[in-house]
Amino acid sequence: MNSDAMLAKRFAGIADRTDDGDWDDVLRRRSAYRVRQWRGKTSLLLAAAVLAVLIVVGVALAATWGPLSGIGAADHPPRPSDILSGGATADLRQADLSPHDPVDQIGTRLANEARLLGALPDGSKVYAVPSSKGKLCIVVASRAGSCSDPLTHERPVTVTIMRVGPLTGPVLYGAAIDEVRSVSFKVGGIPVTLHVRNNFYAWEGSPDQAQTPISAVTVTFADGSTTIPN
Amino acid sequence: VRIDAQLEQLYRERYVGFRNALTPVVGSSEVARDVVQEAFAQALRDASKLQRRESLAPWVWRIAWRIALHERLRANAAELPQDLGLTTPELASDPELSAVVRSLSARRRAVVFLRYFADFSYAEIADALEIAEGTVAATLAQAHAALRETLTQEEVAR
Repeated sequence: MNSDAMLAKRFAGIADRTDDGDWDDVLRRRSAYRVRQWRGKTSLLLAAAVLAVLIVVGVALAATWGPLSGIGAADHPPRPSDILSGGATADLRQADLSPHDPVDQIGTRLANEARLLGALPDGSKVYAVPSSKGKLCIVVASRAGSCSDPLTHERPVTVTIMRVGPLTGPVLYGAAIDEVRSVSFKVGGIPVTLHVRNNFYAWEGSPDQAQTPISAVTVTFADGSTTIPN
Repeated sequence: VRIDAQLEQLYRERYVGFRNALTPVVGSSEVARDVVQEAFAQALRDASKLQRRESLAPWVWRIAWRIALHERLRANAAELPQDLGLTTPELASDPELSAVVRSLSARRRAVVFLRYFADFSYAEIADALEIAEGTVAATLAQAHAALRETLTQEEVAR
């Protein structure tokens, strides 16, 4: 007997010959795998569906979130009253072509997305205009405009003080987020409080206040809390 | 013949051999039985992955081997237990054979178990363990030499 046959014989001598195999058990285990695979695939599909929904919602939110968000009077589809005059649009285009800063942080003012906020005491219309770089611009038709970051609870209003000349009263105006109830300040120590309507406020002083200092504004929210924006 | 039918035939012909060859790996025939059952179930599940030219028995063995080592080590399935087969009651019942097995490295023990418990051919062993057929032959030659030496010593002792 060669050594291969000898080893085979020795191993056969100690081998357990009991045949406790069960093919049906194998098939049951295979079925269990299938169920697990099906569950796995279903979970994967569900996860993909949830992800798709989240993406769609995210895109929708991103589309609605912009510099006009939080300003209820401006955050709506365009109305005929929102359309800037041709002259005002041309002025914005001109301003875009000659930015003051060497690095243009404002971008292009999107005139076709302007929303009418209100009017100054002299009747000049004031618009909120988003810019291509996400800034909020407050524009007085054919007269003035300034841009800043979008409003937040920490900086809930824009404040623009316009002094035209020594014989004309100063004008103070701005946009406010929905939660703002009023804006207060002092002119030469005399307190002034303006109620915010349609997210807008404006005040015009008398000609003898043309050079009078105006203090920083205090913003009062609907819940009574106040803040002094930077 | 469909792959399912081929697997069933392999199972019916080689179940006992698979179980016995795996017993030294996992330490008990009960666990080895479970490993074989799982291996064939996984083979049925993954039958579509089988290459056309691949032999069925070595392929199923590799599945069983992975499950067995995982069962044994619970962690690093790539590592071979150094005491492979040394604590098996069946081997302990034959001291001479046990000495032969003990004289081999764990890797070579696996070759021996496949050859003599599972009745694998040299080619099947090479395929199953992913080694050269020459290595299989050399390993078995070493086992044969160890057996001859052990038996000779036994005869001398008598």
